[in-house]
Amino acid sequence: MAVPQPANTLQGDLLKRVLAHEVQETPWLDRSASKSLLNCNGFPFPWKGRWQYSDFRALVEDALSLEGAHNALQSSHDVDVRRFDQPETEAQTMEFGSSDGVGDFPLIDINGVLFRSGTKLSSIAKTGSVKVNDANGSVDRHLMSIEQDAGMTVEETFKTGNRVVLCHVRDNAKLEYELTMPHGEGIGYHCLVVWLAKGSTFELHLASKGAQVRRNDVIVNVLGENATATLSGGWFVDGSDHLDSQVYMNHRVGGSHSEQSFHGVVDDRARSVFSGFIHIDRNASATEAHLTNRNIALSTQARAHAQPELEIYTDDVICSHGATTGHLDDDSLFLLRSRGIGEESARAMLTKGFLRQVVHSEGGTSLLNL
Amino acid sequence: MKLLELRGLAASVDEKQILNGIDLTVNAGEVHAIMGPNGSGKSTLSNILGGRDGYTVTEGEIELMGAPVNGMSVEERALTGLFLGFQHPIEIPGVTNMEFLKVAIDSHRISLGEEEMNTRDFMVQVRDISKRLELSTEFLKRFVNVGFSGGEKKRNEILQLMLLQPRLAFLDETDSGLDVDALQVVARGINEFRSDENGVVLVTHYQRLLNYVNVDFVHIMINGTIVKSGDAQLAHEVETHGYTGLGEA
Amino acid sequence: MSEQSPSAAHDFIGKEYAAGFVTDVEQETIPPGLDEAVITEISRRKNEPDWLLEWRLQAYQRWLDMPEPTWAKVDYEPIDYQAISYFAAPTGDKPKSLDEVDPELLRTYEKLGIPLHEQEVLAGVERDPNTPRVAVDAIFDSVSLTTTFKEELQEHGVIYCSFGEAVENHPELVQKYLGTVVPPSDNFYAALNSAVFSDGSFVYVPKGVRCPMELLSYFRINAQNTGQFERTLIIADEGSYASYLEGCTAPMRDENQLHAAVVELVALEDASIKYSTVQNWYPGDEEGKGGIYNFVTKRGLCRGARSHISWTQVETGSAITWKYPSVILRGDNSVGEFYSVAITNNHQQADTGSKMTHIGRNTSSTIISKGISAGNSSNAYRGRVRMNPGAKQARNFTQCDSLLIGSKCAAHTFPTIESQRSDAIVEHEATTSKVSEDQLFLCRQRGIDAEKAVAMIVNGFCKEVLRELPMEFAVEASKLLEVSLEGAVG
Repeated sequence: MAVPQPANTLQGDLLKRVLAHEVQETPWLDRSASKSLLNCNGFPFPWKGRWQYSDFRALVEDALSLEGAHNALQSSHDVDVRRFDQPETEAQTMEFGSSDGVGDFPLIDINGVLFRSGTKLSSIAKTGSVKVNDANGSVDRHLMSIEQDAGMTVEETFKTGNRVVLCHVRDNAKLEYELTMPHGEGIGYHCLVVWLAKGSTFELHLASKGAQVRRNDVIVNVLGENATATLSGGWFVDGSDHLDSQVYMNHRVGGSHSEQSFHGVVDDRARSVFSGFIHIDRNASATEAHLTNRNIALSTQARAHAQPELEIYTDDVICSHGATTGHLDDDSLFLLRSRGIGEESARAMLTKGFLRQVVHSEGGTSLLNL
Repeated sequence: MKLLELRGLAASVDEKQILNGIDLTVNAGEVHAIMGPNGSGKSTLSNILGGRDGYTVTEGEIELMGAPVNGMSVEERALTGLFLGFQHPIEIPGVTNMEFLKVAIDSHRISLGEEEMNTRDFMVQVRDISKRLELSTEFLKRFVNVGFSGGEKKRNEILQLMLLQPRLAFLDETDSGLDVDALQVVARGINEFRSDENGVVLVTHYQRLLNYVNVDFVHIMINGTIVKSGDAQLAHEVETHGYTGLGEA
Repeated sequence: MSEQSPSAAHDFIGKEYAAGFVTDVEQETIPPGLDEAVITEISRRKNEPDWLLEWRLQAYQRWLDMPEPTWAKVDYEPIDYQAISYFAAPTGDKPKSLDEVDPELLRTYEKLGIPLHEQEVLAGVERDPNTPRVAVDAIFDSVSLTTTFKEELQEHGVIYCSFGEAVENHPELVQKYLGTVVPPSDNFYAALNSAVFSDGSFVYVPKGVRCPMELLSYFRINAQNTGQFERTLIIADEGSYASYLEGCTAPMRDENQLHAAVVELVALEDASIKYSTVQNWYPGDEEGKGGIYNFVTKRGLCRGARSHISWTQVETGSAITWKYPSVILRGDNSVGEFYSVAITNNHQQADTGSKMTHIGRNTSSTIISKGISAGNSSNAYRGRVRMNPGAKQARNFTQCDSLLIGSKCAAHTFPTIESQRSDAIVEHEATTSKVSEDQLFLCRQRGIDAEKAVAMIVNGFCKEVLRELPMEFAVEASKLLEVSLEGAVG
């Protein structure tokens, strides 16, 4: 295997430090798969493309500095849970996944090398439910499997730290995922990877505020026919916060359907980035995939970046994406004000209305005060 | 002169059997109506006559103008004189109605060994037909069916019919979605078109178009086969009693 | 669509690249290779002043340090820059009039339908007193052969000549504007061009003048193993208007040839430049052998308030296209436009789009891009719209549509929006779909054969862009679309 040497020595040093890191508390976990992938793929260079707006190094440095570990999860009784931080006999051979086959996402494997706590769980009933609390500044990892014909609801809260959640949704299974991200004082990396088998369904309800730096990756791999993914979410980023959300929708087989709609509001001196990537493989005919991303900047110093991408390798598809950045609609504002509503309340009303279109979860509604 | 003859026609769509043995003969000078409930296979019949991909004849034969259609492409069937009126006329953004009509009529003329139509004659003829169908000439500059109302789309179909002068017009639910005024305009077009030389098949769910167009034969189609044939009186019976009971007839 | 109409496919193949012939004319070339001596020799042959040679050599030094860009979605064998000849010209002194031009060369342009005699008109355009006349600058490999209507243009104060003549006769204008929009260090290919550029067109429209005719530059690559590195500079002074057209063809050859041009447009206050391209470089054969690598940097600067720059391109040729005609909207209320049709077939690869950089207040830009991919080709739109902090109430609208024909082609859309203004509005929309079976069925049911039906649907798909072209070019462009899709249906 060729080992590309990062041209930048800073990157090289960083990579070495990650690879040299041993988590003392969990000697029973075999991290060699993550290490060899990192070794093989190296770090992204140049610091462009996916890492154009968020400092990759800062996220890695942060993960290296986190030392806490705690059990962040509560589940219903019909979900089978095993913990990575307990030396069960079988845990020694526990697999906890890697970025293999997902693409070039080194932070998944950095997490694989550094995580201190986490769980592996599976749902076999239709009514499984799991609550995942904030990582509280630790590096953790969760591996979920929703077995054939089963269903599971996940309610997750995340502020800061470094967390990877890997979900396998088997044939005809259903995953409903509510991801709520309150404001965080510090740095946070969150990555949710979902694999969808034949006839499975995935729904994501995302609601987020910003953090000092927050990067949120969602990667969906559609591997079976007739799978459906519906992703929606909204964010409100203010102060001097930074939120970088990236969604990768990979249609590997045909006959599947994905819909995405994300609305973002950015205020004060905050910055929001949205990247929505739709990839359709050569074999994935009869695919339908749509994405919309709308952004509103409320203050003159707020920054909104949008980067929707389509990468399509077959002709039998219906795909679209749309992205806008702008401000509150003057006509609507005028209408409200002409009915006697003060400018401040009118703005708030329109902003809420804008987010309500995409935020439906209870957690999201209360987080964004809708 | 036999314009269309179906003998024991059975057909499938994406391997699903839809038509189960249809016998039908349309001669020059005749107007037929095929009536039936939703899902009886009427639209499948239209597509199979047109030679559309994915529609397969599994048994029986189709003859157009006395010759079997085996192996004939969509356009070859059209140029033989078959015209399909579509239930949901499709939109072609960027292509003007005028351009579309001109290329279509020229294709017909070239296949007959004639010269392309000169633009002036073409305009005169198209304007004349549009006028009779109460379509403004502005409408000719618009893109094919894009932004047309339901009624305009159907009148556009009749415009094509009157311009191309086919031997056999097979009109699939041309009356659906029309208000009474539009229905009358469409019916007038059909009546102007019909002659001793050509034939018309009206596929319809309701009897109301038949109030304006006199038909010679009515066929009731249920579950992919013609269960009963008769004269215009049969349509009235269906209107009064519905399709129930006819299935076993 | 593959099983639909086998007959149409065969009928459609067999048309070929009509401009693929070679002109047999004696040429002098500088042997392949690139170093300071070659650059000095190019400059010497063109009798250039010292400052320009110095400028070239500096660009060359920059180029040596620059990496070749790899971010575009195109794939090709590494180019050996030492195997290319950087200068080729028909032998003999520059002809003083058309009578002195080698008749073989005249026949070349006759075959291509490009009028070099002032009484002629573009092929395919009927002579009509209302048809605007077209002045032609004919560029053959590295040199300009002739420019028509020069005198008449001069009466209006319009300078339209080859770049070489401009350096000789209007050095102050060239020196003032050269490299101000695309600096030599802008990118790898721009640096290479700055070092070795040969000929190209120069246009200057003085204050308040509306250029009385269309200006057409026709670029022809003929020599083997030779790259073409033309440089075009258009300056529209305050309140002026110019419409510039560009066409290009090359012979069919088995090896790839490099074309790395730089085009700079400068629009001063209230000036307007319309720049139209019909790019028909040899695309390579059905197997993907041969063809031009078209690595071009085109950028316009709306320098003055209310200035307007509009790019329209129809890209049908080249094995690989790498170009992003862009506008920097510096003047308040300035307007930038980009209209593009890019068709790829067989093994062609295109990575093209636009950058709109809004700096001034109330600036607005529009991007309409239509990509059509067929065969095994790959077609990407790449764009960036940036609203800088000063771009008060700036607006952009972008629409990218991709049409796919056949299951082996690829279409990509990579737009980036960077907004640093809350009062700016940026809208991007994109769709990707295949030629609709329903549309095809409708056309064919009305007796129109499959090939004609596809051509009609594709033309309709591109209409928004085609109607931006001057009439002389629209006809040619429509025909080219049809030829480019040969073999795609079926």
